[in-house]
Amino acid sequence: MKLSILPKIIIACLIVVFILWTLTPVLWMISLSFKPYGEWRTPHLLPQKPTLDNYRMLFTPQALQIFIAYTAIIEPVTGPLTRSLIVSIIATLIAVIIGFFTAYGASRYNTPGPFTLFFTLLTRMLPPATFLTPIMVYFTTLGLFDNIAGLILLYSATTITYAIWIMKGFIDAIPVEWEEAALMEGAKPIEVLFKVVLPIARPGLVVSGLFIFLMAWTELLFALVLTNVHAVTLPVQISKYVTAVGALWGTQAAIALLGSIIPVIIGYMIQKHLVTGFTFGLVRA
Amino acid sequence: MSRVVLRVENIVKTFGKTIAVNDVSFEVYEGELFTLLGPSGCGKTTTLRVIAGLEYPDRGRVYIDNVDVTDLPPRDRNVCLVFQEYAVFPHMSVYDNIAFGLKSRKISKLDIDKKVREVAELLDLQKLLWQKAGKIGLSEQQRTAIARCIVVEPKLLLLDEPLTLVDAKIRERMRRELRKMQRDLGVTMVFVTHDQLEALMLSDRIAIMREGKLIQIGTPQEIYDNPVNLFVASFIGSPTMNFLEGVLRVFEDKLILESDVKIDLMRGVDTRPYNLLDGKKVIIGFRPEDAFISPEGLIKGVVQHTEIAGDRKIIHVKVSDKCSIRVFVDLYALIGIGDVTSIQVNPLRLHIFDKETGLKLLRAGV
Amino acid sequence: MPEKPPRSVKILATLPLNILLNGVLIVPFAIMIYLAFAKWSPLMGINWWEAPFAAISNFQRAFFDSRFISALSRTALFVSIVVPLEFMLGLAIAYMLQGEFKGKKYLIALLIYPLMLPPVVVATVFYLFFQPYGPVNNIFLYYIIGERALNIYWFLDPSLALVTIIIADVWQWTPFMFLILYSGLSAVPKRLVEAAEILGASKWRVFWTIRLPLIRPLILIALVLRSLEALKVFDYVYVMTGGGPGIATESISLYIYRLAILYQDISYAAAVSIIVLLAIMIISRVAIYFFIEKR
Repeated sequence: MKLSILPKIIIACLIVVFILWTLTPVLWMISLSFKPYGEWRTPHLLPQKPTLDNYRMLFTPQALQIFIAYTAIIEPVTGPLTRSLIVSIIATLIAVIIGFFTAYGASRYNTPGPFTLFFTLLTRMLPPATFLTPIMVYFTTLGLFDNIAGLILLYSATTITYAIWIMKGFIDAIPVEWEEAALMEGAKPIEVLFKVVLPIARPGLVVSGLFIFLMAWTELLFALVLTNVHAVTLPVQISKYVTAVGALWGTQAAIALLGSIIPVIIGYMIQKHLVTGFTFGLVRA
Repeated sequence: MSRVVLRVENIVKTFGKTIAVNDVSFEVYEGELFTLLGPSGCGKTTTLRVIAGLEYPDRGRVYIDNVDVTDLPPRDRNVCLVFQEYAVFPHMSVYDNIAFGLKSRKISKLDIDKKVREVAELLDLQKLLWQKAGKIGLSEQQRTAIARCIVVEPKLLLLDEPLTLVDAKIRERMRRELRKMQRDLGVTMVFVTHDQLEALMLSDRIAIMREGKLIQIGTPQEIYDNPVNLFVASFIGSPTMNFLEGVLRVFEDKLILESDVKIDLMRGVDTRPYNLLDGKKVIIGFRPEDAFISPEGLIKGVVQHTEIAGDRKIIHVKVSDKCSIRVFVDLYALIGIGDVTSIQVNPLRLHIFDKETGLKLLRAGV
Repeated sequence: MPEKPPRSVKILATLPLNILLNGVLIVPFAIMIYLAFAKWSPLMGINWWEAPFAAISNFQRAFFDSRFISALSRTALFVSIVVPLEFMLGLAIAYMLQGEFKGKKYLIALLIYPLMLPPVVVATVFYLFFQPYGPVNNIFLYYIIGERALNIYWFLDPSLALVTIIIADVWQWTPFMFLILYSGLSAVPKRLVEAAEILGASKWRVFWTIRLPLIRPLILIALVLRSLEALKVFDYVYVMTGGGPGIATESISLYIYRLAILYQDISYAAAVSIIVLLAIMIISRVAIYFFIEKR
């Protein structure tokens, strides 16, 4: 079966164009991040005198002063970086643990029922901006403003729906018979949950965990609202570099790059399940 | 002399390390129902797919109506394939399924409608025309798949085990209907099945395949009467042929098989044709229906078991520790377990196979 | 499994969830309703629970707020442009990637990385990209229209600024559409495709009449989910254009953000938020009925 070659060539060209489209923005960002100040406006793809200055400035923001008199950036990037890590990890743990129990109940006993499950979807489908106002007021009153605890709680609450739906999908796929057999042999339901279901559902925990971590790490809006100085996370810091600082292109590129390393690594770890995550478990690759 | 519609030449197809089809060649004549028969994995479906154009052979050519179609995609070959799982388009109506192949050609809507309705009527689908094909019953789906193919008037109709998924009760009827339809329409059909009974019943000619190789081609009668080797002999015919293993001894007027006992096969016949076989290790084969109980029977044994087979009985006779044969007897014959009996085999229906190669050494009836 | 859950499981499955959701989200939601009917701003110097009652004045104000209405319509316009664009592009790529070829897995892995990036990062990338001396002007357009390319200030022109946001969103989310469509198309049973091929259908016809119809539910899911996400657009607008020039690219999320954080007009922000929520719920309801009827 030999097909004519022309359509294939056209398609190949189009695919190449799409590949270029996909790669260019980030390639540019990478190259910018290594370009010295003088080269920021040049059209070359490769820096002629590559330097790590942009990255160094992230760690010693005092150096930014030479560019502009006042800058809103007063801390090195290590702060927001570690905070993002801490917030994301803890929020993930909370969401996954609670989500696991909820998913199990929902899968095997319909408790909580479909109404509650749908309700959790709303937390994600509705624009977060629509509840940022009361959240801000509420958290401030509770003393959770500019406090990573506030962010952790908020992220857990808004991402738990992913945990529930994704893990429910995984648990649904486990044959009920194994648990029933264990119950008949006298195991307590909690034991069944931990000894029979948990080990098999572990991939589901990992997938939803990594996905939630991704969501928490990349969140900007609430972080902007709920942080000021002490709890600034990496996305906020990145936005500050762009909005507050001005034309510091190289440095902006550098911090953007820094902020994408971990998400991309995680993204490739759960590559096959990305679609599952984004569609709340509705689509299985 | 019928026209050759399909010619398959030296087809070889491998998948990775497995040779699925190993140098297969045959011809199919116009209007005949040609069957590829063999056990699972023998390459018959792959061969069918090569003919259809769904697989590209590693070697060999396919000719349809004397045109080399090997390099053509399926749609340019003027063939149609009915899949084992029917593969009707579930989201379309039965009408649209049947009309599907016609829409690719430049035919007016009126003509399409006419043809679709004609074929639907032929296969008793008129009432279902507007149902979604995914929601109708299995046999309706099968008829839709067949209708879909017939309506495009292909040169060749290929069917991949179409009756395997069908309920045993309906299978009989469907076989007859299929055969009748093929005859009425005069369409050349290549049929794939593993059911030898089905093949014998339906086909004009059968090609038996095993492990990728073509073993024997012939009419059902030829294959039944003259299996070319042990495999064919044991595969065809139900109940299976009797087999006795041993060394053949040819004497002036008798033929003896030396197994754990000496078994008289023939007496009073001219044994010259068998002379070359003297001393050979052979396997003797004869069908239960070609042996009968007779006082002059040469083979003596004890009845171990009887069973009813339709309008006759089968008795299992133990001749020796190693040799046991099955024979048909009358339903009301007065014979039972433990009886000593003597069996006569029709010498014209005795097959002799070489023990090592399995090949037929002598045509029966010589 | 027994119908009723054992007590221990029931508690585990519902209590933590309830505490979390109620404590973190439901209570603020109630507060929001309270605030929308009150008049309060931190600038007033009193605590929010002491705020005076304002009946529906906030809501009335919203209906005459031209900035609010333009933010709404702009966001709706944005969604109606990016979602179809991403769908068609994603479909085109999924179509082109149908056959088998070497390195396909790697190609797909490469094409989907935009999904993994934080939207802030994507916003930053395109912010840099569309700078006057950035690659778009300096490299691409330079070759087309020469020196004048350097004078195009993407972020200073209302329409161009919107274009940059659209491009950022399309760049990041087309792979999402592609992935869903691609996995759906791959799941179509091979036999059906073969049957269609044998009956004479071209690759194109097979695509349109067999594969695509069979993934219709998937397409709907993709469109709905993506539309809901696109409505929320904030990161790109905040970082790239700041809603500008002026308020030419201000999305509804940005507007609410500004009301609450910049202008500190809390109760009004709450009212606006409620209106948006209701609008989305109503539209979704209508859309769902529309789709169910279509069956």
